[in-house]
Amino acid sequence: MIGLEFLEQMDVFRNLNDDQLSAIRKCAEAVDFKRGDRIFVQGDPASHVWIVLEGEVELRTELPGQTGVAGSLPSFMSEAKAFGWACFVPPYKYRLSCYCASRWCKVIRLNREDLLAIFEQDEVIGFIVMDYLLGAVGKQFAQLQDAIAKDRGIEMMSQW
Amino acid sequence: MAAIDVLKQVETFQTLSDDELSEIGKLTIEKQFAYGDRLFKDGDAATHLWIVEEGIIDLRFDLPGRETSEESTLSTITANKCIGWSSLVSPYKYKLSAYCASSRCRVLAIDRDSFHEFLTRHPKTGYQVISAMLRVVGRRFQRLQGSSDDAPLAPVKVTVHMATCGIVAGARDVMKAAIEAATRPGLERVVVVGGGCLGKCATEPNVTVEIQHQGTVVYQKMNAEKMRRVFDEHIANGRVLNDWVLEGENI
Repeated sequence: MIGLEFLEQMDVFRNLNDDQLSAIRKCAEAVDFKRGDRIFVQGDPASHVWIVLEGEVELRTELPGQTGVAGSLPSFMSEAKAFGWACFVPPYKYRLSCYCASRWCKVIRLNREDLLAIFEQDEVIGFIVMDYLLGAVGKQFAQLQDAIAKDRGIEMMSQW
Repeated sequence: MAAIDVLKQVETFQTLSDDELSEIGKLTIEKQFAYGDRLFKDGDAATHLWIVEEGIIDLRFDLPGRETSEESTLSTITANKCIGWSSLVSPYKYKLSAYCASSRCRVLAIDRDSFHEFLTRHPKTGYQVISAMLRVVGRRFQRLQGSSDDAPLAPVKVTVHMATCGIVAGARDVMKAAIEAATRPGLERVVVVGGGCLGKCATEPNVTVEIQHQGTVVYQKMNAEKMRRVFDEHIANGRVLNDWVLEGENI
């Protein structure tokens, strides 16, 4: 079982007390991957939030035919970073694919339904975790937006 | 301070009780903008969350040394939607500039610090609002990801010429029909504005339709019914109504 000391080191759970961490621990499962392993695929039903415990993962888009800006925008996540916000956003499908990008990595996965049950019982946990995930999707959104703006800006400037 | 009925319509507040909405209402300030006004600038400290009460807001990237234009619009935000979620996410800086893209815009501004302090003090409300905000930003991410290979939507400007000659000929009814038609779903990129005399008083009311990359068409002797047809045929489907075009004015 994952130790509370591991959980409390993670940004997403930093402000939770021991009781709240224990509730989270009950729905957390550690999974190991080696370099190149696919953790989930873009378009799969999004059923888990994921947190990198050790190593590094890469998030990237790979829909067939998606060759534009969105298709060339990998992002990397290392220890203590959470991802998988798509499990709380309809249609609940992963928007990116996720691969192990280091020699090996250990990742915690938290089941969406279990998390929602915890949030319903203790809204403080819900607020803190959702606030963190809002930050995560905000960062990805800004990264994608910057790339598209740069792409269109270059195109517009070349038309002068 | 915003009324509860207004806040109830907002995408991030729809699950809240009247008491919760009343508290949030106390944090709002109403502001008005005219077409082309800038609400905030890319890189500014994101001090407010904004709610569009009426009108259309374009979120654009600004290019150095170049005036803003619809070409640089990445998102168009309509009534009851939020902008400025960067105010709730580190590093708390706006990522794009926001411009009023309709004849006028009415918005509610919520101070970030007061709002976040309120949500932290009321975690039940905070959980609901932040969950809804996550869905909003997530959906916008999905749309942006899906549209990144597409060309931007063609913006449309409809000018109803409203000088005295036009008004006498019935331009006010034409303007009213145009504004109503522009609120239809799918026509968020249509801007309706009033213009001066074209120097063609005998053919008033005149209406100019400009579609980006498709040229300009001037229609003559318009009325409300013809205006609605122009929206249905020309603006929505690209079919110019040649019988009503002012001779020599299809540019």
